[in-house]
Amino acid sequence: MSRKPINVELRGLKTPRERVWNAILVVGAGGAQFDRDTIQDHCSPMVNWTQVDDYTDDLEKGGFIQRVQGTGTREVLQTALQFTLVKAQGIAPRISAKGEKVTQGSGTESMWRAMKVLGTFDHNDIARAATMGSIVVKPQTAKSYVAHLARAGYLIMVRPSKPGIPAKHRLGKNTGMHAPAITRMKVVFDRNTGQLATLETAQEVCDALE
Amino acid sequence: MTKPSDNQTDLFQGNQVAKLTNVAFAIEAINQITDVDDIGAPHMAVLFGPPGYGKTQAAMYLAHPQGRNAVFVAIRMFDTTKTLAQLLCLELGIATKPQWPVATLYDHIVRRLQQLDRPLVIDEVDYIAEKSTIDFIRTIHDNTTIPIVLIGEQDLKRKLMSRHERFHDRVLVWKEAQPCDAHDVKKLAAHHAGDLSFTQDVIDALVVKTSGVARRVYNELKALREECKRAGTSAPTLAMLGNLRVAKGAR
Repeated sequence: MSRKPINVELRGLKTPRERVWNAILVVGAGGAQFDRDTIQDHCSPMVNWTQVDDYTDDLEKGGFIQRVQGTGTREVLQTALQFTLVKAQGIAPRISAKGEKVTQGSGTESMWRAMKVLGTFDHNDIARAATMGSIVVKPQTAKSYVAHLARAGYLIMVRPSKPGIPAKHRLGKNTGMHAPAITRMKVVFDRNTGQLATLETAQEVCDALE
Repeated sequence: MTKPSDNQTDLFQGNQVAKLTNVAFAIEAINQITDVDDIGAPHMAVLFGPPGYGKTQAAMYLAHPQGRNAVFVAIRMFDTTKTLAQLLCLELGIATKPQWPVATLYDHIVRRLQQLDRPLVIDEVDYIAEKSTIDFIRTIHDNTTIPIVLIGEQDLKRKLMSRHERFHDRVLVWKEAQPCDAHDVKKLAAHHAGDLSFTQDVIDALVVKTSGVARRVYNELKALREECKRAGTSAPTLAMLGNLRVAKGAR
């Protein structure tokens, strides 16, 4: 069974923007022209038209795709705009409406990388290793991330904590390239496997109310 | 947002990864093997040296999203060609099936690596340096243009050269990790114990006592910091250094 050349099938869940980007890579391959409807048709699972619209705008600002013709209002309203792919890259560009790079989540990502590189670590090691360039990870942030992953079963404790000395862990479950995220409900969510870990029980939530 | 090459000079200052000679070596090496446009040209670097010399720190710089954003893989002692391929697929986010043969995995890896355009850093290569598994890395090298950095212990060069002469032409840069000198120790001291003021003789004594092993320097500094806290000063003395009891194996 043969596969399409550009599409390596990827693990894990994809965000709407990643699905749009993958669709653009497919329809824009070889310098072909495409419009937003074609992009939407190639998204799987489906992506809202508004999201396709917004993301193509952002990509155009960021210089990843280019309008073929028509910059006036009339063209925008009356005909489907044609685009070409200018900068192809494997990972969907994360850019804001201004065309700038989005840095949200980069601290978590660098902490996840640090866990893979360092053999055994405590949260201070992670904070130190993850801080670089414009990314600053505070020891407190690292402490909470390490604690969450440890509770969710990603880390194996090498040495328990003592007063004044933090616990030492090593990565026991490397699930892939995407860093497990801590959701707003303080649950570890892993995009690689698409699983939520360690939901608090009702009693635990209740206990925290006091 | 600046490109990695732009903020490299900034990284040498401030409260970031302590930029030791060995990290600078890694940067130099990867600069030499980046932007190889010819698919036949060598674009592999080998960084080797004794444990504790800061090789992991160098790897951390390469793997950090704001460093070189490399794909990082640490070889395990039991790795075969297939498990290595599966590990790479996991790290690259490729969906695989357990029954896929190595050839299929390999196709996907090469395609994905080229698509991502990120360097590949492989740590603990000495585990496979004398096995035929190393040829898998060589084949990946031959079919991609991304920079590949291999990291391992001090015997890595000898091991790679003795069994696999074909490796010789592929590796553009061989870098041996160097022990810390006084300059490096000073940097480490500023990084890990910035609140203390070190005199030159303490720095020199540290170099001698630790024989330049970065990890030992770190342990000494940590103990020294505790000792200073106990004594209520911010200036460590030679006498303090002599009396230190450093926890073995602690990092």
